[in-house]
Amino acid sequence: MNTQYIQANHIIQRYLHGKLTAAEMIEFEEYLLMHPDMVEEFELSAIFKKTLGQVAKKSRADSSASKLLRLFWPLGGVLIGSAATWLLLGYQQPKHVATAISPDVIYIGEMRGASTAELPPVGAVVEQGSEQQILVLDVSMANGQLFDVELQSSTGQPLQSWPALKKNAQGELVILATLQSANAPSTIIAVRESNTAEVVLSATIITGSD
Amino acid sequence: MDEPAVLVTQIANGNKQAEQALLSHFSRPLYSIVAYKCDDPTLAQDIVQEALLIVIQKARASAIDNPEAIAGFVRRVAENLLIATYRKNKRQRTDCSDEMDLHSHTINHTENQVSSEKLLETVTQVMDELSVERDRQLLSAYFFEGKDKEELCNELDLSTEHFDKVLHRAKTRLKQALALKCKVEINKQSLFTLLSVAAVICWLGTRI
Repeated sequence: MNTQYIQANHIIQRYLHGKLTAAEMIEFEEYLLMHPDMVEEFELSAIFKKTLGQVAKKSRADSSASKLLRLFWPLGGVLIGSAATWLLLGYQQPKHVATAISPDVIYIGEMRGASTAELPPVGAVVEQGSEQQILVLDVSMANGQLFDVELQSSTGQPLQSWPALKKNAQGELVILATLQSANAPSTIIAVRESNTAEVVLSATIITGSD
Repeated sequence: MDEPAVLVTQIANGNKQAEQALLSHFSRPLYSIVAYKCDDPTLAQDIVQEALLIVIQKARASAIDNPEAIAGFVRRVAENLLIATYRKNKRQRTDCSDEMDLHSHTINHTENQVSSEKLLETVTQVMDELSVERDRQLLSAYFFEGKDKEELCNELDLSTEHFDKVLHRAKTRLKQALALKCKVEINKQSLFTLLSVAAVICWLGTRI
């Protein structure tokens, strides 16, 4: 057993789901003990296994609850007023789910635009109180290695630029930015390949409180 | 760092630094394995500490016959301790009268529950960030249901490259989210608890 074998045969997943033989299980555990660098991947997989079931249960519970709510309408006029009040007070539109993990890290990926002439789709919303942001831009689909990143106002005026950035091993560009210094309700992030000037990623980031 | 087999030999010669190095090497991976098996970070911590103590004492006494197989020895010691603990707990459930033990275990369980909730919150957020429902289905089916990669690629009609990309990105996102939300730096400490390797080594250092 080696790292390549473990990855190619999804040994970690099979271990976590009890699909290895007793001998394979022992071999994997001993390999893990001798190669602590593999522990990180093991732990992440174990966390996903442990929590995704609960995440799925939570989603199903929410879905069942909303179906149940709709049953109150046809039960009669007496319930309509209280049901309407209940819906107004209790029902909430799903919040816009930004791609921000936290006030500080903003991940933008798979949002391609041929040009930045039109306003590109919203990629993230900066939370209030966030002073600095780490932008993680996924350019793994682009062939090039070097990229020019530019922050623009909604009218196309350049605000800040980062020329010739090299993507990391994961195909990402990581930039430290202060998006709200533009004092604009939104900014546009545009990424071009340095060699071809082709736009590979563009997104609007909502920075204002409105 | 020297290989564990070499460290065992050095420990037999009285090398204290080799003892610390061996503890550093095995603490986290052993903890991860035991914590996963028993799903109890506190118990896992106890087991790991006890197991490594036994290993060090055996190494000092030159009682480890095959240093090359030290990983197997460490694993077996921890497994036997875990089995012994389960047997002891099973007996204690029928005739337990030590309220002090129950009370401390309850406190530890509450602390673990807080960590679990935060983990759940973090993973939920990572999943919510996925813009494509299919990617959420993929992760759930792979990690939770345990479906094979090939099966999932056929079922969801996607390439193996896309599959690998989604998996890799999800793990990367989780790492970043844990670092920011739970203040856990995955390269420094186990995710199963906020116990750091340093704390284990310090504790063992006082016992040995």
